[in-house]
Amino acid sequence: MLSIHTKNENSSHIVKPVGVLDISTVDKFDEYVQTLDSVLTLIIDFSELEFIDSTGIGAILRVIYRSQDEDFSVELEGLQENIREIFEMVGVMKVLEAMQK
Amino acid sequence: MLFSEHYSLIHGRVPSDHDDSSSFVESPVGEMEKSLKREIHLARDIQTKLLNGKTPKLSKGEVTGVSIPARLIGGDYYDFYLLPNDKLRIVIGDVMGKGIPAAMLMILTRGAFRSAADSAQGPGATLTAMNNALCEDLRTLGSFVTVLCADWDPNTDTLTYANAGHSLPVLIRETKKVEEMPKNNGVMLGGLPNQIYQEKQVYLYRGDDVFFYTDGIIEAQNKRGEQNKLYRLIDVLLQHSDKSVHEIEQMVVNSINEFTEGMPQKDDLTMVILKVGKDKANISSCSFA
Repeated sequence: MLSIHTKNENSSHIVKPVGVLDISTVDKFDEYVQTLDSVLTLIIDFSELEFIDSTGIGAILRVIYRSQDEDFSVELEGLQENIREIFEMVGVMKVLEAMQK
Repeated sequence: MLFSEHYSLIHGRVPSDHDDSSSFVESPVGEMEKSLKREIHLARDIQTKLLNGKTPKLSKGEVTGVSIPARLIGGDYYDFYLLPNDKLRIVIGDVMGKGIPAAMLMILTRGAFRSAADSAQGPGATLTAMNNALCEDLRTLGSFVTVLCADWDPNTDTLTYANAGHSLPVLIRETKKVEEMPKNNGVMLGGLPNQIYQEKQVYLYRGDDVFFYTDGIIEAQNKRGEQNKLYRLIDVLLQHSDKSVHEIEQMVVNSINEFTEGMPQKDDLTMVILKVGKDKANISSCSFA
């Protein structure tokens, strides 16, 4: 249902959730994110994410809040139209903008 | 495996010292399971009573709401609040997550709405007050709630709404045309502190329907994993727009049941339907049924 692909590029750490990020898979994503340490820039690549529900959005928000507490930056990349629309509607982009100021 | 062992595993019971199948005693696990089930059902009763409470009877229109949880209890929320001069405040919301945790936050959200609705001037101020009340708790819990709040004023024929990250309602005109509501995207409750929620307004005329919903309605899935989608919902609303709100509600539920072919759903389904009355001459005050 969800696989997490990762790689380091320059000073960025790229996390690519592939499949479905919902209540049945969110623990896997949360657990991976917990293992991250000393990251300067975290890029979340959504290009192969098929579906995200409110629990998945909550996991993305928790990463964004953590970036403020631990002083690293978060970039959301590869957003497909449907996921971008959901993020815009719920307010994820506004939270990200406010946290990265 | 012996029958008695098998029985004890399924029902959480163990044989007594007398080895007599008629004198089983409850194991602590069985007791706990029973107690948990009972508490979940009590929680469901509380939620059902609070959620599906009194629906206001309007002199200049009709309104109805229903919430169908995907599990025993859910995290969707809708509510009504009568304002002076026949005005009605409607709120619909969706708590992040599912089941008991979402249900607990739904009750918090309800409390915040009820407190705010009494004193807040409009839907924007209502959402600001709700966010101020809930933001810290939601951030602590790593959760959020999307909420849309709207005031219908039959005296000015307007629907004024503010949005904290929720889907916009579907507006079906009396002429059987669907009209897109002006975009109004505010941040979800719990997202950021000290938020000001902008208000937008549309004119409503006799026979118009406004359909408020949570995403479970359009994301309901069938056996092939296809989603119900907004266009299917709009088709049903257009087809039945001349019916009463209760009939429309039933038609939407039927259409989802037909589409999903009995597949258990992942998300709660909630809708509120407002229909502007055709008889504007009848001016009496609103009351709760």
